[in-house]
Amino acid sequence: MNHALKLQIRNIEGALIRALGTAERRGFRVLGVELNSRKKDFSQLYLTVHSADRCVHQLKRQLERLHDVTDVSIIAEPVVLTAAAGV
Amino acid sequence: MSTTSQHIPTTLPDSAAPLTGAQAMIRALEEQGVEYIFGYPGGAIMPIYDALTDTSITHILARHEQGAALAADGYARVSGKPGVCMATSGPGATNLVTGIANAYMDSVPLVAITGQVARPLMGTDSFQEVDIFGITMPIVKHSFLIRDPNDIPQVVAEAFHIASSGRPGPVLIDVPKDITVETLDRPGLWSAVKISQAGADRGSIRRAAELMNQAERPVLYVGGGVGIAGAVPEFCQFAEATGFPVVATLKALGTISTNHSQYLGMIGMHGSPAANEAVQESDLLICIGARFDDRATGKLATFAPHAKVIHFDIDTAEINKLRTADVALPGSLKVNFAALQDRFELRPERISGWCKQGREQRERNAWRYDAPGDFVYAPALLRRLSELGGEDLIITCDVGQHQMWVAQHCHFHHPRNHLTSGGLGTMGFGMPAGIGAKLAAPESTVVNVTGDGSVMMNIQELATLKRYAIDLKIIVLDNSALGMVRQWQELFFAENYSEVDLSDNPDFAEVARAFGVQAFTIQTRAEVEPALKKLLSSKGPTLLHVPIDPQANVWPLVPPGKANDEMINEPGTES
Repeated sequence: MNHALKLQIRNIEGALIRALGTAERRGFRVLGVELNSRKKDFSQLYLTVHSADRCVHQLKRQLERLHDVTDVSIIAEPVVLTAAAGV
Repeated sequence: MSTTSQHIPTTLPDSAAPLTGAQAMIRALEEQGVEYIFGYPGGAIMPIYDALTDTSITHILARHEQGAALAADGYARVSGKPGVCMATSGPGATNLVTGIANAYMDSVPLVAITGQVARPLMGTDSFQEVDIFGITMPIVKHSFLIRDPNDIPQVVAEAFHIASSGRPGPVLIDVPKDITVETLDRPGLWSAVKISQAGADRGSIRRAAELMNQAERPVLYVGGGVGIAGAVPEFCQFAEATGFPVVATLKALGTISTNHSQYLGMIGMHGSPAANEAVQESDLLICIGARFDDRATGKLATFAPHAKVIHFDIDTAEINKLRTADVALPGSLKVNFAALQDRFELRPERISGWCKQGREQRERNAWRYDAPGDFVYAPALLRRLSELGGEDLIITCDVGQHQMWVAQHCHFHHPRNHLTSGGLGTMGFGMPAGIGAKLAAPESTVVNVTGDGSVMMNIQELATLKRYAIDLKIIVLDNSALGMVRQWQELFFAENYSEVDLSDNPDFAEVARAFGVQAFTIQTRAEVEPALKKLLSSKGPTLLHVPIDPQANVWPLVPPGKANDEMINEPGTES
């Protein structure tokens, strides 16, 4: 099943890799990534992930444990990636 | 769960001359109250070692960086304060990795400081450069790569805070060499957000109390989190108020007295039949600071199949990870014990038959020490060690059969008296962890119980024992084999023995003497009592070498992939 998550991450070295690595290591395939890093201190990270059997709420809690991740929410619709949209 | 925060400003002590990055690092560690650093110098970290000669902190030179990391881990487990280890870049840093992973798996507060090549060389594959920040990412609670010397005070303070708050864990600080020689011109102030964990919400407490009131076959399943939270007295008070039977994980041994009338023993693969059967039959499993590890649960799908679950944990990511909780109680254990204690009603008549059943099952399966044969019987030796050592005895284990025998046959009076690599299963943990434990608790007797396989994994630390005259006692239970692997090959691989024979081991007593550590060997059962007394009364580090039966196995046993009520006993003995 596919899931979409919206994260707020600190603009600190390693934050993006840590979030992506956590998703993969906890059993989710990352289907889509979009990073909006225009602000000084924080970035918005949208992830679309897939897992046949793992619970996305569990992944949310795993991501919330990361110190560079300040907010995680499960969003209804996977974000339309700019590349996929042909922008 | 709610959190409150308060700001704690941290600054460096006034200093006339501007500090170099290396001096700032040492000052920042002093500020955190660090007593010991376990480490090993090398090129990229030399400026910090240069600054180390001007500090009140004692540096313990290990003989391999893995030994340094595991000694810091042992120090942290016993003292409750973060352990600090330090290594240079490249191989120094990669040698720390097992120790960092060990701390991660067992929730141990550890701060690992690694030297890094200078910033202009980073990313050029220069001499002794590895991306230790990237290598350790999945096994740290957090990590820092310092890019500006002014960040050092802030990063160190934050690292200690992260390592020790909430669910503890390891934090890595990677410091490029040029940063340690530059001076600070505007050292940053750090405002810590101190998180004080509150308890679960009232509705969850009420639902937990309802389940407890309705239960007819309840069990308290206690894990290592209680000891880590410093909540052992509160747990015991809570357990006694409920009257419910208690089972413990490997990491929780000592949380409740082995002789306590409610205690049924350890659960899991080498646990007690009384504990495993009680969990399997239970209608309410109250999991407290434990994480449904596969060695504890056996086949997860059939673990406690009839039970509703109440799960206490400070780490919300553990709740519902492997077993869905009917009621989740996140947050502080102490707060949740107190909140719940006033809410449930004692109904002893409802559970009296269940409690009696558990006690009788425990008595039926009491350990026996009359094993046939002439070899020293390891379980009997360990039981006697535990009796002679008294309540303050700290035992550090390695991994394998001896580790399970210690868990089964030694009595512990607090979880910090039993240091075992529970999550990672690190052979070679015991001797360095014993070094850290002895430094953290110099008044306690510390014994490393090890095997002939494990002791070789960090045997170089005998030199550290000698160098600092660290009074660690070592018992090598030597079955001339990798015993646990041999046991599995016997039972589950049709006796097809593959690479488990260690009959060409060196003479361990001679090895110890070569390092300047006194040592002796016994062969017979009659020698056990005087040998243990001699070991415990000896002055300085001492090794006791004990050959045991190469065929001895650990019983009882839940075969891998089976349910916990499918334990098998030693052939020829009654179940």
